[in-house]
Amino acid sequence: MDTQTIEKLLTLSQIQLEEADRDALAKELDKILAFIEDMQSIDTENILPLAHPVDIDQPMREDKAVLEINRTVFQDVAPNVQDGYYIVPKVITAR
Amino acid sequence: MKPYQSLSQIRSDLNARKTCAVELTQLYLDRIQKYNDQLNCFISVHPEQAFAAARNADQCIRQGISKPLLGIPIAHKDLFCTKGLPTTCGSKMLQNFVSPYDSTVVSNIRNAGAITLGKTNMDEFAMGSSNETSYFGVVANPWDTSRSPGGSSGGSASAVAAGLVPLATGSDTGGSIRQPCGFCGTTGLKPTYGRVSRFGMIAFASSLDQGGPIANSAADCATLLQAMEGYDPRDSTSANVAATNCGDLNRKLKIGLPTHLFKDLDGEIAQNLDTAKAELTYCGHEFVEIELPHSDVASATYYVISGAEASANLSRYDGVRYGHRAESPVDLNDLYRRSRSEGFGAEVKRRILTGTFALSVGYFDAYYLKAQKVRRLIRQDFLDAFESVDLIFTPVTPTTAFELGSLTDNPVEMYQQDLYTIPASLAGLPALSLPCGFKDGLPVNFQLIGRHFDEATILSAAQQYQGRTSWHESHPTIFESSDS
Amino acid sequence: MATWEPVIGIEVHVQLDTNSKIFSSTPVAFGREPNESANLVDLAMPGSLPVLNEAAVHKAIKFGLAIDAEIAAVCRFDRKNYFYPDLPKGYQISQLEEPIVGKGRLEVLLDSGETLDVGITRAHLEEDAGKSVHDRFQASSGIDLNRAGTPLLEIVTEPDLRSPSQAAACFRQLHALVTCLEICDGNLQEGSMRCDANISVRPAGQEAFGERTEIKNLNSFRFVESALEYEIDRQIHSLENGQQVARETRLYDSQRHETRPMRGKELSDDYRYFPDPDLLPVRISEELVAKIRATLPELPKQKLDRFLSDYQIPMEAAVRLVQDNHAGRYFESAVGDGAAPTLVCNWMLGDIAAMLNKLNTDFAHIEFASNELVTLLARIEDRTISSKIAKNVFSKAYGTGRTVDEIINSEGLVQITDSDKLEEIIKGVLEANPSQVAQFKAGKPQVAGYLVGQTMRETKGKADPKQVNQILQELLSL
Repeated sequence: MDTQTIEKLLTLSQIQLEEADRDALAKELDKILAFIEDMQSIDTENILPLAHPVDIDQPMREDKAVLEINRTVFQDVAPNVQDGYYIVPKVITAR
Repeated sequence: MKPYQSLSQIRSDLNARKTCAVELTQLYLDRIQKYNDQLNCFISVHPEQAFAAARNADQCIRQGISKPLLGIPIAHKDLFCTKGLPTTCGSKMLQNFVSPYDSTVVSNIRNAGAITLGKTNMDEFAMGSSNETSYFGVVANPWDTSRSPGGSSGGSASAVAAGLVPLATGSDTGGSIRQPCGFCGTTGLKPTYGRVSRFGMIAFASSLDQGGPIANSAADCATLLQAMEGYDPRDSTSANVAATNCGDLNRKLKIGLPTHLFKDLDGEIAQNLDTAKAELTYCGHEFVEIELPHSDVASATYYVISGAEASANLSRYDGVRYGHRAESPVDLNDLYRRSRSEGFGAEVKRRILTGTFALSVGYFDAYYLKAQKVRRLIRQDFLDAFESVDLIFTPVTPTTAFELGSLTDNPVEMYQQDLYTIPASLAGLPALSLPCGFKDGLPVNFQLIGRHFDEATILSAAQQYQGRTSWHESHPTIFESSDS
Repeated sequence: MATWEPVIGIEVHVQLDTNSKIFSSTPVAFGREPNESANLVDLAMPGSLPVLNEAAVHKAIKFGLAIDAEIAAVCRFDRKNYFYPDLPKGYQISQLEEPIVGKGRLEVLLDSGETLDVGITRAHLEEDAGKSVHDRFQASSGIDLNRAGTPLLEIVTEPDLRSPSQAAACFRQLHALVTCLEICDGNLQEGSMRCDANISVRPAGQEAFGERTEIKNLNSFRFVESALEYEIDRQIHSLENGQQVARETRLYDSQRHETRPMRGKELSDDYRYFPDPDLLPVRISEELVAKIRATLPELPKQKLDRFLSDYQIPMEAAVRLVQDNHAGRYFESAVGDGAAPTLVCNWMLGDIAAMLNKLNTDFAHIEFASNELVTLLARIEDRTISSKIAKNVFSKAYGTGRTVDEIINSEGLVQITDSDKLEEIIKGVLEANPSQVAQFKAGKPQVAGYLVGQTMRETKGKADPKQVNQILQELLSL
């Protein structure tokens, strides 16, 4: 796996690694990829992908609203809140 | 004092007022206190809450109230959210996370009357087969403390095997209940995908994860499963099916034997399995040779699918609403990157990156989509086999418990530990791991796989087997002491 | 110099009007304290799972049926992966491969009464994100997840639009449709509908599309039009100066009337969509579709035809009443109570529209009941008040809760129709203006207008000018 790909994967998954760890990671990922390659030997022509092992359909919930204000409980586990907001460093990039 | 061998013994002592819930709680908490330093099965133990629940249970017992697990101590794998208690998932990321709510499994079990003693150690985010990826340190195998208890439910399996608790919950994504039960010589069931609610069970790979029981016997697993299971409107993938109802097996079964899976198996392990087969044959069941043609690529398929799902499931750990947050982030990306890099261990990062790769532009079709197609073929193998057999018999692990540290530098070899358990996971089938002997003093288990939602047949056959054998009653002697 | 043709397609995010969120039972609520309307699922607590709200599905199907689209027999949800603080799970649940609504057609009514056929590519369900608050904290942003999980229907049109006004008309038509279907409250100020526009230009006659830009988050019909006008000029200007149009996302600044590229999109655009394993395939039965079809109301085009034929009102007025569902309902309610359609229409599009405009509100929030308008028109008709007084009464009644009759009576606005009394007043006016009377008699009939005005002033407007004029002429000709 080349540096560029590793770089992209790290960016996409918001993980950072020291330069040295990156090489080790690349080697590991290469091994994992080689292991995964096993799968490519199987002929899957005309086979539909399977996302769930059991064939059931999505149940639907009645549109009933339940208001339970648990903000204090939820925010007890938050690392940084102020006036009920979760605080992050200034967001400068637009969506 | 010695731990109990079975729920029925505990139940009969409770009914005869020979013991009470508080005394049981004391007994197991004493054992935890005595042995947990050696084993490290528990990440947290909660005596105060346990005694409160025990007193409550004793009151119920006095009032003649009957519940399936009333007064029985239990431990939960630390990925089941427990309101007001730490729920760490074995990760630094959630080191200080106190869950604001109960998972359905925990509340079902509590409603059945059980007493939560503590939360058990596990591989970080359930990713691992040796319990060595836990942020809270490795768990030792009670049969040989230099060896791994297996993973990821290693804490639960080790605790049950050592008699620190009579019952424990586990979760199984690719073998995380069955493999540690195999290494520790206990009985554990991965139910059919959809039988046990995933609500409040911290996700690793959503289309594979399934909570299940770990206990001293198939009978006890059945009792715990009955408390755990049930349709849950809060989990869309929960199945609305009849409760598990196992009784005496009064029919002869056809048991499929995928002989190709036994080809490279260690000779002594194979011998243990042969003895188990002979026992089942003696019960009148018939073994039929079957083929599961795609099982040798199951592990590869599994690592693509579980990695892909995990890569998204773990995106919520961003240091904003809960969990580890990096000190003084300079900007948003710094907050994300450092919180995640500091909070996750190496194996979790590897899986996230592999999964991200499998989903990314240019690789999606060749990896993720391909794996989903192979997954269909693997499931079809089983559906075809179950046309002619009732159960499938396989090994659980290629070896007995390995030395701690022996595979940590080799992720791929570690991944291959699960080759016998992964196929049923991909197919969503129920599968039980139960003991059938020893090799060099280390337990050997076998696996019984059943049809979707047919846990009853597996558990009934296993109860029949365990009625005739005593492997499940063997416990590591060093933890049998009665000097307390 | 070549003439340029704009090619425009729009994507409209419609907030579905449900009680609870799309994947959780939290109420969809505006104006709550930050993060109070956010439960386990909305906060993406570890272990929480989504469960689909049937009302969101039903409303999406209703929209699909209204545009004659294919409704998917099976649709599914995908995860769109990216990190952003207002996206708590690190992915948005959306639909990529198998949307609930497939290809359909929208008939867009232009102001002229002509219709424009616009292709709808698809419409899919997804969850809204939360909000970031930037100005409240120093060097930090605050995250409020109350809006996270609000159900959205994203409607995507084909690039069938050829001018900014067509694009605005299309957006307006979608607004009319979703409010008529009662699947969205249509409140643009609160962001209930947000429009993104894809725009490119090409030399007239050329078939291939030019490179396009996307303008995001346009939340009014007017902004759609003005942003596109600016962007078209900008693109033409670039092309005519030998520059390329860069494919990019831009934001419209309505204060400066310009579009600007969105600042540094640092994150890659690789969203890694894949089926959400927490959700199963959604099967939509023919029975369900039939049941929803039976609830379809009269659609805007049908309503237009009926307004034109039943009420004989002008096309332009009919179009406006149909475009605004609340206005249409107001109109029909007034006419249903016996008021003359043309008069109702004139009042609604005249004085009432002016008042709403002034107060920056609309017929959805009008504070003058349609039965009050009926009373007002009846009082003009029975000559209790003049049209002029009626305007006065209306502005006194609007938003005060006072009735038309109460205002007329308590403020003594009843018209003086007694001719003896009027004659007396006019005589007084004539005595007070001898020189004007002399001018009239000397052959200057236009002076009568002045004298009528003086009389009206004397009566504080409570006389019918026609009647005044008649009596005046009689008196002067004596």
